[in-house]
Amino acid sequence: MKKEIQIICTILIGISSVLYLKWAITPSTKNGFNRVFSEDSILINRVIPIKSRYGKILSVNNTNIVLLDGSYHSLIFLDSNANIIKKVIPQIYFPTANLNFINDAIIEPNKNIILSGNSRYIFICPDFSGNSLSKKEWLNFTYTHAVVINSSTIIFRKPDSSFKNPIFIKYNLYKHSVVDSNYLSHKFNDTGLSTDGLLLFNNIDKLFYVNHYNSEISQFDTTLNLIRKITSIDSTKKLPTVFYNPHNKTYKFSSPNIIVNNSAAANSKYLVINSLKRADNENFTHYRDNCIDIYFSKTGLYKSTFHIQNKYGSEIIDMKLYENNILLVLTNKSLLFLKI
Amino acid sequence: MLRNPKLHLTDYCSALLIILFMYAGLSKFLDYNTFQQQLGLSPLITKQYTSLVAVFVPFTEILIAIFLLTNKYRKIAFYLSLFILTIFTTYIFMLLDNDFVPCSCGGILGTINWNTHIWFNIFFILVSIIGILKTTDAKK
Repeated sequence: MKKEIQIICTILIGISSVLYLKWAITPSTKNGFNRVFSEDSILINRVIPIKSRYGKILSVNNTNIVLLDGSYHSLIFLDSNANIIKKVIPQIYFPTANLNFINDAIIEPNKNIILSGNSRYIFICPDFSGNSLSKKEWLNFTYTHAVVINSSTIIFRKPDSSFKNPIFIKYNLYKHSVVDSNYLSHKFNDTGLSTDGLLLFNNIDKLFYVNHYNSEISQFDTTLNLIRKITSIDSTKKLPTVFYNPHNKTYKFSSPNIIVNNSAAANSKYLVINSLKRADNENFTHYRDNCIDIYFSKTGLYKSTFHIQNKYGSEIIDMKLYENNILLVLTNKSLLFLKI
Repeated sequence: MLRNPKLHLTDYCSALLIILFMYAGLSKFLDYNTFQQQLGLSPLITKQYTSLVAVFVPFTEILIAIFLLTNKYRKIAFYLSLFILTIFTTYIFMLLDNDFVPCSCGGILGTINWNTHIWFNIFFILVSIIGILKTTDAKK
């Protein structure tokens, strides 16, 4: 009889261990918000495995996709079935600049502009037929974020003259004129580290600055006039604390920072945000899925949320909206095409 | 030893479990990266513990197999086998809704579906229980 009891106890301890594990990973504190799920209205059009790891989506439409490779050195042109049409390595190397990489680029007919990563150069290249760049412009400032508005205009987020706070500026490539806007950013004297985020353009007339560490989203027009401040569904107000180290003159987070808004994309209809914050009504099966919140681009109002199962990729590298579609690059080397 | 039928049954149970745990443990180590990656998809194991669990599981399986080979630790090995198989089976029950979570078992075991896996585990749980009972009886 003693052995039978030992067997039953062993089985019960085994079952209890797994139940405890499940209980332990379920958050004990609620985050105080709920999501509206729209999984049924999201259609997964295609999942295309890709051979190499890509870093960023530069442009996408119904016929062409342009991606930045994982090393940020070459532009990959794909057709709609993700077959590589051509690979272009722009010649952006300078005497001491083997470290150069591509920070961002806009690839559209007659609007090809490449922003260099480690140097303050902007490259303008009407076509990529000969891998050559027709023109380069030197910037007399450093920047942290940039978005190309049209063939002559770029909007930057950059440190101000004191290097303590961020400002947004509108830069004209040909007139070299600068329009800055002081009031768009918070001033925490931390070079903008705590309010770091994602600068997006809806390809028509509006820009969004989505904070990484709290739920604040600023919507402004291309003349840098603030339209409205939006709060994302997760309602996170607190920003990470940043301290200044006078010895090496650097700013650092005082504790491990928690990203709320991981990646985002915008067009004239929608603003989509990959949020890492869990809602109270998200269940156990959503634990590892990528969560994407949809907002209306014009009003900033929350529409709904859907999840991308983690079988497609554990993390989103980048996403881009085109019409009612979303293209996602995922960490397990696949391109995912969705229809909202 | 061969004249004692109860002891003979224990040996069969041991042999089955040794084959199971050696195969499962070694195939996990041989394709360690895949095992770790698949474990990372599990909703029950948080990311910071994935590496730890990825080493602990195959190590425990091989240890059980080694214990089963010895007369001294065979009884403990049957209990450990029962314990770990109960954990695996309960874990599978929890993942039945998540069909996208791949099975982390190595080799051919990783290709069977969850329902088959449950019956497979239940069979080996019974083998472990028989092993415990018969080993004890054999000592009397």
